[in-house]
Amino acid sequence: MDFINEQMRALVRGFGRVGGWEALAPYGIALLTMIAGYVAARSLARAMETLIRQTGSVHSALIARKLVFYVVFLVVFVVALANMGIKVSGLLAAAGIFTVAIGFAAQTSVSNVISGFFLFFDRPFSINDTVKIDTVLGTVISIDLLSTRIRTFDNLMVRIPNEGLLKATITNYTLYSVRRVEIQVSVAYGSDLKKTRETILGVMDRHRLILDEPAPAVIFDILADSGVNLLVRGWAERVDYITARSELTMGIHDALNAAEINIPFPQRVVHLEQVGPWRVESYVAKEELELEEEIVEPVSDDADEEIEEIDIQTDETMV
Amino acid sequence: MHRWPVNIPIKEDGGIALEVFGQELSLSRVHPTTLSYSLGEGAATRLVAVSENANIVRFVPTLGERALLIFPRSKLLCPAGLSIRVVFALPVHLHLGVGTEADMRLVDDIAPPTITRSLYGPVDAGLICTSVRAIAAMSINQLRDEASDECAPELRFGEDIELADIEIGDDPQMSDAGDELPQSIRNELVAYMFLRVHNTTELPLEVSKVMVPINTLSLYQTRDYLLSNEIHLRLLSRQEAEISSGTCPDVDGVPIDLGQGRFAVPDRRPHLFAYAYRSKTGLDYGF
Repeated sequence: MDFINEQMRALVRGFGRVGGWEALAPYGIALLTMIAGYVAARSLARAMETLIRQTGSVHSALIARKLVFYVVFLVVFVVALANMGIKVSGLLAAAGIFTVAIGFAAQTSVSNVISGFFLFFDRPFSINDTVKIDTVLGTVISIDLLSTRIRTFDNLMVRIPNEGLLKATITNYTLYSVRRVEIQVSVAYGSDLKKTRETILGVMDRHRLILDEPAPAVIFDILADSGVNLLVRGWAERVDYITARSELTMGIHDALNAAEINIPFPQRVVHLEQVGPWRVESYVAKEELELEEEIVEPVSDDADEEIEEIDIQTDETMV
Repeated sequence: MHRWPVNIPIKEDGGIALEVFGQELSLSRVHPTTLSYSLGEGAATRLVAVSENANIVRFVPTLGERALLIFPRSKLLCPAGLSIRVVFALPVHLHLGVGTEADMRLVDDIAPPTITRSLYGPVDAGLICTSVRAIAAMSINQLRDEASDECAPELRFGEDIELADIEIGDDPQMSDAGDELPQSIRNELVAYMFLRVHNTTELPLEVSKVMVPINTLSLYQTRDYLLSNEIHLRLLSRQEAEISSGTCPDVDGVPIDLGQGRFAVPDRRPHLFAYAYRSKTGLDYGF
């Protein structure tokens, strides 16, 4: 116990020699400034987000929150450094010396930050939009300074660096309120095409999710291998797209069945041209025949007669 | 005699069965603060929270929340400087409310099941509207004659409801004389809207569709039918028109109270529409 007391007194004497508790005061003030500044920056940022969310988009609110937080916290950080007696101008001068080194080290990060700013102004998507970025399809859950996070439909989080986004092909599925539903249909050759068109248009006219205007359309597209290909196009509200597509496909299938219009399977017509009857002969190597005779029954004596029968059948078919 | 709103008392021991737009609607009290509600054959039953003193189910017609895009079955051709006045039948929605006379709460907005939608404007900035393919006639009687073979949507009371209990509109005689009414009372679920088109240009112009913002319309009831404000369409050029709403065409028309003292107050500002969204290819929506 005496040992501990002795050590504590030695520590106090040590502080006395370097300037006492007073020497720590600037550091304490700087620490308190940082903590208070952090809290203030967060509060201000949230207030700004709430304000902008009432009038603007979620995206703008999020960006504004981050911007306010970083600016306020930067100011607080500089003030805290000044409290500690560190000259900011000297720090900037030192930073100048290391700019090249820092530039190389933070090349990727800086590139991502700059890309983030470009994305903010370009606005190819917002929070909660459904997008396809190259091959990643999902909902945007956050747009940060360095990266953008996507939640895919199988519930995976994909983080994409902003630099990559700037170069990527982005498809936004939620920008417009309506989408065109396109279904490819094939009907058999010989079908009544006018009746087919009326049947499909009737299905779309009656469907509650297909908009009356823009008017649905049926376009005869290609005279394909197996049938006549049609493009069925109607417009639906974006939120109903999947349901409309599914129900329309089912409705068209049922309506064509009811109208006895055939949807063809892939098929190939082979034309056989033969002048005379077909002759079918069986050639068996003599050695094989001898081997088979040991284990299987010998070839029937009626083999020649069977060949004759095949000739006759083939002849009838050709006629 | 006015037919709206329709108030039906909720009894402790029984339910209410109605036919709305050809669908079965049933309501019954399963608990002092809960109703069981279903609409349509095979539809899932929903439980509705109500106050303990709720004793009335109320039906009020409305025009829905979306703008109307009316496609006259016969296009209206208007030569230069002339006007044409026609009337259309519009489908109405039904607001179902539960509560007391003083405190009515909206439970459901029942839309006609056959209703479809249309886009008015370009595909990147258009407005989704309720689509109305309507016969244009010169008078309501003519319209009723022409549409007599079409089945008009209606609110029909089932035979299990005692008609004497039903309070229809604001005419006390109607309620008192319930026993003398036919067993099946039907309230037609259409509203009539007059449209006056005036061509201010030097060219004959054709009207193939009219977009009517819903905030310009109120519903009024007369003795026999529902009416909305008369609409005035001024054709300013081939691609521009101005639409404004007037008053109820029948001086005896009474605005329908949507409950809790709220009336649909029409916005009298005229709306200017431009049809310049047609693409240069001549295709409205391109391929």
